[in-house]
Amino acid sequence: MKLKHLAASLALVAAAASAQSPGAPKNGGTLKVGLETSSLTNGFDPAVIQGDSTGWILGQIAEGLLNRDLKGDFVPWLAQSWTVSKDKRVYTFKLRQGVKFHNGRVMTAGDVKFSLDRMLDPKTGSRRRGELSVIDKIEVVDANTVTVHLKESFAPFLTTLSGVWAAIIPKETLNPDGTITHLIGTGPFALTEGSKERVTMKKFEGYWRKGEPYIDSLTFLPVPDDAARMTALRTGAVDLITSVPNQLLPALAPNKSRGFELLVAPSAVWHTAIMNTTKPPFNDPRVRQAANLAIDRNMLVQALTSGFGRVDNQNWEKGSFWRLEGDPVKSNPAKAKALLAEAGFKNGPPITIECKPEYRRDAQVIQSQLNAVGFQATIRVSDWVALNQRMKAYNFQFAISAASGYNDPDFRFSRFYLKAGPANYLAGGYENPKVTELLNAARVESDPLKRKESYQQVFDIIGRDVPSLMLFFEPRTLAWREELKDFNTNADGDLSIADGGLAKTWLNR
Amino acid sequence: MLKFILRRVLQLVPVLVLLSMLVFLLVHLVPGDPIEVLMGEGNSDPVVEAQMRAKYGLDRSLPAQYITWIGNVVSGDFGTSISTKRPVLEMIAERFPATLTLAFSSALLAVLIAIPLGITAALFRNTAVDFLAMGSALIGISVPSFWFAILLILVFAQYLGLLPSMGYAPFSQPLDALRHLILPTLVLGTAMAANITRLVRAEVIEQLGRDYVRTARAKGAPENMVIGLHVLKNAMIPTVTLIGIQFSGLLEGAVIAETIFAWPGLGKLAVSAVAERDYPMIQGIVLVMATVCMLVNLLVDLSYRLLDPRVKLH
Repeated sequence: MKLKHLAASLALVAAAASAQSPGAPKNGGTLKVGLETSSLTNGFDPAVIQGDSTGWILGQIAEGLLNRDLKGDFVPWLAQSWTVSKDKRVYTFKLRQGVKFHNGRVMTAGDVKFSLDRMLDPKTGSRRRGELSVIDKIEVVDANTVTVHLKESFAPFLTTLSGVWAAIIPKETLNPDGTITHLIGTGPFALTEGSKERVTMKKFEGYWRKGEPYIDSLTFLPVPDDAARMTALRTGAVDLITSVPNQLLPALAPNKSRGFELLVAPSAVWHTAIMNTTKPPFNDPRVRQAANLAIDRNMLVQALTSGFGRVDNQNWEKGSFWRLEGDPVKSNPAKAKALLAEAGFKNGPPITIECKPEYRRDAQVIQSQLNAVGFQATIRVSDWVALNQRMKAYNFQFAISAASGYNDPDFRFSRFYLKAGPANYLAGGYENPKVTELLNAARVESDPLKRKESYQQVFDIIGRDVPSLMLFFEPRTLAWREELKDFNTNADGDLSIADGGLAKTWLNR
Repeated sequence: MLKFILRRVLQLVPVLVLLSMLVFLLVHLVPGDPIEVLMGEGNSDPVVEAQMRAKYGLDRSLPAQYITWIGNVVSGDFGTSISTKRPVLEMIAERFPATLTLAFSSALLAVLIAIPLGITAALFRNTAVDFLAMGSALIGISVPSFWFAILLILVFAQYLGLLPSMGYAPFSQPLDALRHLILPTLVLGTAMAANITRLVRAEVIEQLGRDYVRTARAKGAPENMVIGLHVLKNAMIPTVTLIGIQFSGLLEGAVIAETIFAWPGLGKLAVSAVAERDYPMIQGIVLVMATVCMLVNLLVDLSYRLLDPRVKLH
């Protein structure tokens, strides 16, 4: 717990340190970013990308109508303003004038319609199509005005438009077959060359935010190996790295003479345990509750994040509007044992804990905690594609994974806890008619307070039914060389947020 | 000679056809498919998934898919990567220079270390020189390359600041290219040298006991000539075979060294293609690499003829 406070205060120290910059920003230089991944991108089509690193990279090139700031609030971006009709079904966006694409053409309302229509086309393969399918039609009113008509009011609509996946792109970026291999956007940096091994970009001189970016060119490199990544930072082979190994944090965090800036902040990424509610033994809520009570989350934070992660039962931080009531569950092995016995498992059910390789250590700690209350757990590690396929077919018992984001409660809950949700299998196929009713009502409710009431009820029911367990939140760690100034990011480690990211950093060389 | 080469090249065809079937079958046996990967975790959407499978022809029967693919391959079209949407051959060609450079430099270093060391060890058998040479070879074989790589990075990049810790530079910038090449070459070259040294030593020792050596010495041939001309030439046949095998291995990519040094080689491309179930990419890499391996083997066979005139090429 001490370490946790230390981490929090250090995050503030780091943020303060980077805020005190020596004078006005300087232009020029090449910024090299080392990402903790073995493959930088899985393509350059913003509509079909996945994974943090691809999002961070493409976010430098292409932008959406809206962006978010450090606090997580919406900021007008390519749209200068917007209005919403009384019935919450018509959104009218006024576009910022004179915004240019990297090919020099000025962005118009037609490009907005083109980009959104493209996401709705199943042939594009957009992973967000489901969320956007609430769109009835998109109308170009004039060169700078677009209206989006929804089939029904959809409270989290703006959230779907605020990520790089909803980037506004020009038709010219498409190949004849409709794919994208060389992305053109309106972002601060224009793509020069891109592969899984190396992505290079140069400053876009015509960027609509005058004066930005300060850096001339940008290079992304994959450095999956922890030791190699730390050395690359120390030797200047890269200037900024995402993710410092957790086991180094106790030594690095308090060390003022470590020679580089370190940000250790609470992240929006939580690890989760998923139980298959459609098959024995986890179709019995008592068995799921037993697992819930068997797990000591504080111990997970100590063992897996060197104490720099945190335990919570929801992704909305204290003080935020959507924060729901209720405390994280405390481990209670005695009660867990009793529940197992009540469910008819004297010697505990034999179960298999499944995970992909990066969560092997999670699985080991959880295995020992489950076995301590009477489960007979074994571990099976497989690559994520194979595991994902088995989970979709409900051919698993207990799996460990991670999730992140979901600022809007509808995304957080409907994706997982509605039978028709795209991530229902990551809630073990959970279905509860009351939850379905509440979620469907909250989705079309426009009064935020009434919405919140519904989500509180959903949250309480799920707390009793526990189809999946929120285990702990990872710490967000970034480190950068001291000559990189005015660098800032949010809990997602987003490198293209409105008031931070790479467009605002500069090199003091 | 020309006839031999032609026949050997023709022999590649049935091997490649069989291999293509095997690879095609194997990649489709692995659980999950590229569309599963494109959709990612937590994005089950049957409508989009069905459309995508149809778009990439994955909804057709396996024999139908195979025939389309192999037909395109024969006409020189290896298809498009499902993950990056770029032509498979283009992506392989992009990485080939980096892989070839590293394979050549490592093999060269290995030969430069291994042959003198192996001969010396053989000539001074069971002396301190021999024990030292064989001891270092044993260490070379036993030390895990990822550990040695990190050790080199710490010493040469972090503490001494002499060499870059990672990355690749093309030979259009010769000095930069060399600086980036040194550490990965040391890792791969020394490991390869360790194996070759042991073989060279064993072969030289064996040849030294042969009758022709005794005859040469009895004729009063100078020792330099006996070793340099007669023994070495005979000891080289198995050595060249081993070098060929190891060189082919390096051409297929050295995943660990590539990962640690962020070297843009073929090994990592192959691994990520498998992780992403990028069928055309996996199939393309396997076919290209198999062809390259067989060509290297052909060169090794041809070198036998140079080393030993008794070897008949037929």
